[in-house]
Amino acid sequence: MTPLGLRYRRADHALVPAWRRWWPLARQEFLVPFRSKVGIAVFCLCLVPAVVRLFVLMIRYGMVDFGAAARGDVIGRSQAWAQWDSGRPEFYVELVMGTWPGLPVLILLTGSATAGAIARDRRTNALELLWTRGITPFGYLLARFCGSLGSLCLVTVAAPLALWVAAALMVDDWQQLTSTLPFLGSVLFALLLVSAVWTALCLCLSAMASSPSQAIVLWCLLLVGSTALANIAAGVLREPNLRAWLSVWDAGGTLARHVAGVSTRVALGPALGFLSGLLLLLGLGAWRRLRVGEAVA
Amino acid sequence: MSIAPTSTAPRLQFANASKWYGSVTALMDVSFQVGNEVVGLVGRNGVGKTTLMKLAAGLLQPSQGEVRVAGVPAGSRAARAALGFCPDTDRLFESLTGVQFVAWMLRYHGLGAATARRTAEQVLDDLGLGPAMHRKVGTYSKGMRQRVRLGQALAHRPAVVLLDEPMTGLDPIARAELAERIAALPGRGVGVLVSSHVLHELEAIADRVVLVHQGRLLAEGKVADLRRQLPGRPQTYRLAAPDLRELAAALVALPAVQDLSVGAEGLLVTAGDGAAFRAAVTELAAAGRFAIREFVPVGDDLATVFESLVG
Repeated sequence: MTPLGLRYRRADHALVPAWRRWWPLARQEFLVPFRSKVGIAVFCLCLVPAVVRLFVLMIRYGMVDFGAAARGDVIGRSQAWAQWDSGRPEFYVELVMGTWPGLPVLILLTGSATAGAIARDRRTNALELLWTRGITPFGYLLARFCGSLGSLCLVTVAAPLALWVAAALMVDDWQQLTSTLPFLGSVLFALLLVSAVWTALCLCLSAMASSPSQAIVLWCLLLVGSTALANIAAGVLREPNLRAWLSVWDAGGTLARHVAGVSTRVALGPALGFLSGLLLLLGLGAWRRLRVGEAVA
Repeated sequence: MSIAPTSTAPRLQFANASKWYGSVTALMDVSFQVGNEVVGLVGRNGVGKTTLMKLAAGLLQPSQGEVRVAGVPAGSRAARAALGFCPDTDRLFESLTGVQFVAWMLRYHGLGAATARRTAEQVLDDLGLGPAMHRKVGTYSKGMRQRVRLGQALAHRPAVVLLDEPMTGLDPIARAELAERIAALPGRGVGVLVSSHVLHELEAIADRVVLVHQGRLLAEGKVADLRRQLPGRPQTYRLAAPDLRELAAALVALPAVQDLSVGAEGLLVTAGDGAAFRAAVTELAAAGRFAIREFVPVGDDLATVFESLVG
C-alpha cells in the first residue's frame, strides 16, 4: 500500500530522480570555502604557489621584464630543476605534490572545509534531520565527497591546468603545446586521483569524529604525524622508501608521480597498498558511524 | 501483533513496539496510533519520548514490534515522503536563509530547484515569517527558528508530522502562536504527534495525550480526563522579566493567584486555576506591558498524575 491510499496530499509537481537529490548537498559542500571571508582568504592563500609559478613563466617568456639577468636566472633554474620547467610533467605535479608548499596547502584547504563537514552535521544533529528525508547515507557521503573534491580540485587540478594553458599561450610557437599535450592527461588524472584519495580519507575521518575540531586534529595528525613517523622509521632503519610507504602524504605523492609518468625511484606497490588499506579501514569505520541508527543514537 | 496494510490504516501506528540497547530497555510494548488529529506525547525527560519519536521517524528500528507511517514501515522511502520531522535541536544551518534551508530540505524529497524555492516561500509566508525568510537563520529569534523548523517539516505536504518539544525556549506569545498553528494542522489533513514534558502546553492543542513513563505507555486519553484526577490542586509557575516588581504588582491582582514571591531566579507564582492564570499571563504579554522572557511551570502536576497512575 502507498501513502496515497490515506489521502496523502502528494504535491502535484514532477519529482526529480533519486540520484539527483544529493546534488544540492554537493553544491553546498563545494561552496563551503567561499561562504566566509576567512574561507575566501584561505582559498586565495592556497593559490599563491600557482601564482608564483605563473609569475616565473611570465619572466621566462618575457611577459614581465625584470632584465636579462633575471630571465637568465629563471631559464637556468628551469634547465637545472625539472619542477621549474613548464615543458615537463614535474612542473605541474610538484606544484601540488611537493612537500612545500603542497602539504600546508592541503592541510589548509581540507582542514578549513572538508574535515569538519560530516562531524559538524553530527554535532548539530543535522544528520538526524537528513535521514528522515529522501537521501540515504550513501547519497549523503557521495554528495559530500563530490562537493569537497570539487573545491579541492580547483587548487590541485584546475590551477595546474590553468598554468599549462598560460604557458602554451605565452610561447610564440606551438612547440610548448605539442610537446606537453601528450602527458597533460595523465598529469591531470594523477592529480585528480590523489585528490580523490585525500578527500575520501578526510571525509571518513570527519564521519568518524564526534566534533569538527576533533576531525580537523585527526586529519592533521594523519597527514603530519604519519609523515614524521615515516621519516623517523626511514632514518632508523636506513630505508628511504619507508617514507613513501608509511606516510599518507608521501604515499599520495608516489601514486601521483607514477600515474603522471614522473621519474621516481620509489616502488608504487607498497604505497598503493598502504593507501588502499587505510582507505578501506577508515571507510568501514565511517560507514559504521553513518548507519542510520548509529548516527542518531 | 502485525499491522495489516489496509486503506483505513492510521497515519502513524505503534504496534507492540519495544526498543532496547543491550540490557537497557528504552521502550517496552508500546501500542497506540495517530489519526487526523493532534496527539500529545507526554513524559518526564529521559523516559523514552525521544526514542519513540525516532522510531516513528525511522531513525531507529524497533527491537520488537512494528512502527508504520501511513501504512508502510517507518524508515522506508514511502514513509519518509509521508512524514515531516521537527527535531528539538535549535542549531539549524546558520549560514542559510530560512527560504534556502526549507528549499534545500525540499529538494531531498525530489522537488526541482525552482519549485522547491517557490514552495518554501509559500510555506514560510503561511507561517508568518514574512520578509525575514530571506535573512540568515543565524540572525533569527527562537520563535522564528521554530517556524522555520515547522516549515521544513510541513513543506513537502506530509501526512503526519512529528514535533519534538516544539515549545521549548519560546516566550508566551510565541507559544500561543505556535499552539494555534499546530492545532490547525488536522484541518489541513495533517496528523500530529507532539512531545512535551509539560502537560499544560499540550492542553490547548492535543485531542488526546499519551503518557509515557519508564519506557512504558502509562495512559492514553483526553487531557481533561487526566486532569480530573487532580481536582483543585494549585500549580506553581516561574516568570522572568526585566521589570519583575511591576509584573508582580500586576499579577497579584489576578483572582487565580494564591501566592507570589520574588526570588533570585524570577517570580514564583502559585495559581489555583492554572488555565485562567496562563491565559491572563499570555494576555499581559500580548498587550506589550511586560517583556516576559520566561514562563514555565515549576513541579508541573504531571508528576502527580504519574504518581497517582503508578499508584
